[in-house]
Amino acid sequence: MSRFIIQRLLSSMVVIVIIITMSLWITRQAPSNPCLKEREANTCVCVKEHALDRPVFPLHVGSPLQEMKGCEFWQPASSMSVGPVTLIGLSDWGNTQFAIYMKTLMQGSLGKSMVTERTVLESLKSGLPYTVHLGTQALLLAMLIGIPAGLYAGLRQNTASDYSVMTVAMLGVSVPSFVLGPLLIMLFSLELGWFRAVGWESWSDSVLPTVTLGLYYAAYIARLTRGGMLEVIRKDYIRTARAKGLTEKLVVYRHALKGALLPVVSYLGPAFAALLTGSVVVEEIFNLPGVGTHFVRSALNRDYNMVLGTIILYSSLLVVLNLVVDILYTLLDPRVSYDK
Amino acid sequence: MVRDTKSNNRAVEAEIIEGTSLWKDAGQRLRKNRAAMAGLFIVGFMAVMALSYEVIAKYVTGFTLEEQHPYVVPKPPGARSVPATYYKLLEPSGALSFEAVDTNGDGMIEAREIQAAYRQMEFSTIDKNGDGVLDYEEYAAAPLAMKSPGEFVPKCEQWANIRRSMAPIRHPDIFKCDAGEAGTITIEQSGRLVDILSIGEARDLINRFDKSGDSMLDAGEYVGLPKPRTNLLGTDQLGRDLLTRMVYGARISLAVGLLATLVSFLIGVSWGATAGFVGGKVDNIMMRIVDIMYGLPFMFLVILLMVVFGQNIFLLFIALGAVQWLTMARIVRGQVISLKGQEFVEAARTIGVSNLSIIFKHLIPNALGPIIVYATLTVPAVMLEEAFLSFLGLGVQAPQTSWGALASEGRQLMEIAPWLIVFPGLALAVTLLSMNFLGDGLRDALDPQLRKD
Amino acid sequence: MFGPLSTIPRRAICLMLVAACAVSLGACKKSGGEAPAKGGEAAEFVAGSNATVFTFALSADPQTLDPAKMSGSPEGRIAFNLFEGLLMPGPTTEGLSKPEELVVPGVAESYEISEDGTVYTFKLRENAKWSNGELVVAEDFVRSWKRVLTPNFPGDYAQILWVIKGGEAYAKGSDDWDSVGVKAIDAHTLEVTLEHPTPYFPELVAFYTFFPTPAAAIEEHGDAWTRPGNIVTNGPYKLTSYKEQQEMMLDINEHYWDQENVALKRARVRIISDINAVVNAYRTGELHWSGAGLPVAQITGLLAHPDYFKEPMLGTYYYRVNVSDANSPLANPKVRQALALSIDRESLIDETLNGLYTKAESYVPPGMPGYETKTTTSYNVQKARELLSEAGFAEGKGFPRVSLLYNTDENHKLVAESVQDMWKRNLGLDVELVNKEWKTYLQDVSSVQYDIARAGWIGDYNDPMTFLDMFVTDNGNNNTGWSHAEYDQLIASAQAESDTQKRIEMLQEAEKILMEEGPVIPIYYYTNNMLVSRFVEGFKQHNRDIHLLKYLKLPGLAQ
Repeated sequence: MSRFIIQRLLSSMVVIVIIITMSLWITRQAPSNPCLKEREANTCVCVKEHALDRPVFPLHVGSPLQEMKGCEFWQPASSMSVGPVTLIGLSDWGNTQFAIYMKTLMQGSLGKSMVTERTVLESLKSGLPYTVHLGTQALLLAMLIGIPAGLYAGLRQNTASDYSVMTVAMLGVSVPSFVLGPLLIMLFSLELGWFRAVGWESWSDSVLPTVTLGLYYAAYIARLTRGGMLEVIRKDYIRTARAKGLTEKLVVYRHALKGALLPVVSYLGPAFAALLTGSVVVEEIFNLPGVGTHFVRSALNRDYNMVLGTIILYSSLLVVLNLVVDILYTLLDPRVSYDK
Repeated sequence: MVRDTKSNNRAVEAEIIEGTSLWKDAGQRLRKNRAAMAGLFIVGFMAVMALSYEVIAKYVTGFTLEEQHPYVVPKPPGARSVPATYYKLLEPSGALSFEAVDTNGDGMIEAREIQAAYRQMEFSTIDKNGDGVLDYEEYAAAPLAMKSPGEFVPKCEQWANIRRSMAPIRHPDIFKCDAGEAGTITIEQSGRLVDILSIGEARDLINRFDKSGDSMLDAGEYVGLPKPRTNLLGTDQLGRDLLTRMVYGARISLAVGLLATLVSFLIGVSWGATAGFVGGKVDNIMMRIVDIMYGLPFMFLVILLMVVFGQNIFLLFIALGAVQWLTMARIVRGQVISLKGQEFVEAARTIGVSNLSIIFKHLIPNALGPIIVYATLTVPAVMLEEAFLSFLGLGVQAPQTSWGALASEGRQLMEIAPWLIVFPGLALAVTLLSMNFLGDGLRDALDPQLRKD
Repeated sequence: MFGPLSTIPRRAICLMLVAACAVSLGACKKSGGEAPAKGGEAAEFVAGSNATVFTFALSADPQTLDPAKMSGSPEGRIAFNLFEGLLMPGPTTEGLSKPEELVVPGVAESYEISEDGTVYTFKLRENAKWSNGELVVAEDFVRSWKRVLTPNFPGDYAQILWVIKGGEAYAKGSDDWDSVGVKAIDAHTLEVTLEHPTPYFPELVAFYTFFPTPAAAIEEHGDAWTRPGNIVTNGPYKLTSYKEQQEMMLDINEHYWDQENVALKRARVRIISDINAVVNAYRTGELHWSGAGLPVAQITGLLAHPDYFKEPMLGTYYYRVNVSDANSPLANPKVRQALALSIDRESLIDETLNGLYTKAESYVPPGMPGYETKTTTSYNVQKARELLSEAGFAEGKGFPRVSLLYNTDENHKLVAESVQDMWKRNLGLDVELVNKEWKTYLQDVSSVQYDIARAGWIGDYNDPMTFLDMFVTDNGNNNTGWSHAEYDQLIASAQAESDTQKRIEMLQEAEKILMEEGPVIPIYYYTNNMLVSRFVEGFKQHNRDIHLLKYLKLPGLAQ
């Protein structure tokens, strides 16, 4: 098992380097750049300051490079079009944006934001606690609602209670968060005055965002649990357990539950990752200071460093979460083994 | 023990039936599932609506997708507008005779006079008891009367300043501000309550019938006025009929959901099953690729694709589906890993069935339950994603629209025009619910182990 | 291990049902029937009832707090309260007859202008101090301005200092500071020599790019000098804390020369980017001032609000036309005229935009003391059709499908859809709407890759020059490819002219050319719609949306 974990962690490092490389390239392909403003500004200075006037990689693939006023700018003129391959020259390796970024990374920094005056690390540090808090709470709420609802419905397949429980659960996935959130605000903040409508200063401020975000995933989890339960309840080992004369409760909770939760477990990793960025809409509606807002805003602002920083954070979390999911998988289902 | 034997017998019987008609059997089971059939019916109904937008616009709503009636907007459900494309002319007699409409008697009908004629028409409709004035009941029941704002109602002097810009508020105090001494409201006092036609629309109307090019209608050119029609679900900020737009939106939303899901289904199932079945290095590499894709900045991908593919919405959502397959692949892989150790796969392998055949004939059908559950969840997910993109301005291009785009537009107005978010939201929710029940039914019907239990 | 779970399902289902009911209740309440009339009888709405200090919303995190580098309105709103220039914007721009009345003394007590209008001598007050207690002296301004004029200084508005004699040459690398027209005569006297007579110079001096920056703090902390703890300011307030995406606290600068007369000793700045969230926060009593403009979509619900506040803005919303492609019909001024004449601005504004804005029949907005526009482009379909057929496209036949570019925004979309409809109806032209996110839109506009594009321009000072000089050939903000020798000539002579009346006439002439042959289709003049507590005193209309906290009073607020 430990060998498996070490192997996974090593390959994960490779994965993250690949992600960085790809993201670096993709961000530079998007039209426009971080320095462009509504009024003519000193764009060239900004380009030079952030070393954007250098090639991204020594090997440049793409159409002719676009020139900015007074600057040599290495972004392709028309994005993504496949053009000739030019070798910038190996002597320039150390001058490429990639090399510069990797050097910064080696020093434990994610660079400076290209739009604000803060470092990427600072911004992520200030946002992450809120996003993780919100995500964890929402996921807990989702499991607390989704798993019992799914089990309950799964054990009573095709009965009225199955339908009604699932119908209610499905409302979460049927109502977009940008509809649900404002509705909750309207009811609980504006009409009843129980919660504040905007911001995050105390725990009570996290209630409405958690519900808005959590209900969506609760529906997913309820579905997966129900499906898993239906699947597993007819398996041979359950029949054997029943045949042994175990009580229905014991059969369900000792034996069936583990199997029924397998699809849920494999969903939890991506679900948590999705919660982190998927909370964008919720963060926007409730004006929460999380990472999701940073991500979208920096993508729209072409704040390359911020985007890359967020992606690195996000990918690292994801890799770890997926690893945890795989380990949980082996614990829940002894037939799955990674040591051969 | 007795029980066990029985079920074994059943299993044997089942094996024989399966050999002949798995899908026919599944169809029968599906038909028995009422919830699933109801879902199928609703999804089908929505699909038919989506396909017949042109017919519905012409014969049911009377408005087109882009047609704007921008006066006292957004109009609540039940309000009336004057259609510009599909209309029926009212006879030029009585209150609509040439002389009656030409109020200043100069022998020409001008835009202002047409507007006044419609005001009169609307006033008579609202004035239920026909006494020529409105009492508070009639006033409050008028479709254009505005919901009273929450925490305050303007004072009379304040109201006098803003009554030009908005419809009257449904509140006794405001009614008193406008009403005369008799406690009733005349047509002159009713302000925007009876405005159903803007001066711009009136000009267009004249231009439509004007042959001489003088922007006025003479007795010869005047053939009556188009009959106002009801906006069954109200209108948006530009006075466009919501029902018509929702019917059109259904087209985009459903197409996007189904197309993207199909794409994700095809890629995800093949990818996940292969990885799970082959295992080892191949699995490792394939799943690392999935991991990399997961870590990719989705937002950037979409922005890039928008640039590359331009405004072609379908290509974009095929790309969306290509993002969605990741989870599908993981789920299929998980299922396949736990299935492939089972006896029936071992058995198939011993009798020399090829790997491809094992994957597609044995593993995937047995893993179909969770796959279908996930696929039915992908449809709403994609529809929501499309809404999210519209929310960010990267979705459907105006004036085209989708349910998601309609709901996200409605969000901004939900305080004063709740219908704009409720109806598209409801359409979305009902359709998604139906799809889920349909998916459930399919799941049950396709599950070979479930038969006759 | 799953034992305790057995009790959960029922409880969880209850929870779930409660949540679902709550949601559907909310929906029902709003969708169905008439809500019980509260209004008049209910307790009167008081803004900020849940706030302990004066609180207002800011629409985004300031990109920088360095006044020398900044541009944009959230940055400006903070800078005007943290820093103080030689002169400062007055409380209002309404009802003024002369441009000089726009500003009030700041660090400078008084100033004198030379006969020819090119030399300004400012007398600095002797009690003006930084927040660390040090005196603000003339040398501070010299150093600050020199910093902005340093070649390649990353300041968005650096070019605005080119009005100073020799400023442009120095910024372009002449390395000859002595010939730049800024001299500290003594600690409290500053002499500024300008390139041309610039009647709006007092207002420029009251703009943040001209504000002094603390040289010592910049030396010590580099770019981090704007952080709380490092930052040294000379305005009425100092920055005590800043939480990204959340809030800033502004506290009175006890060394400020006029601090006894500042009523608000503390202010809380809430950073709220979503305008709907701002309105919600206002309605729940967390704000005294919405800070940013209200969403058009919600305006009918807020027009009746007792705290509704409207002010005209020095800004024009217009469509710019790409004239650089000689093969495009848009290169023909007649076509552009036809497009401009066929927009029914009155119905667009009254009916679609709820009367929020003022229709624009020319490019330079009204309300500048001393200038009046002499051109009008009114709605005239007949003439528009004639012009279009003169250009060879009778009834729109043969006219290629052109695109109308706008950046993603509900308001721009509303306008674009209406205009598209009007061009179709009135001229028979098919226009395709292209909606792009902000940065892509900027790229397309700045590289002139569009047919017609939405644009907005907010004036930097109360003089038509801020609107007109941008359309000079090859100006960095022209972005249309338009070039007109006579226009360029008029702008250049107006810049050199010291006679006010002659100068105004030249500008009026230039505007006429711009409207008749230029690449501009005006739509409306901006107004600013906000919510401001009606109990706040001293909040007056300002056409550049500058509202200094030092002018405000809020009686009854616990400080």
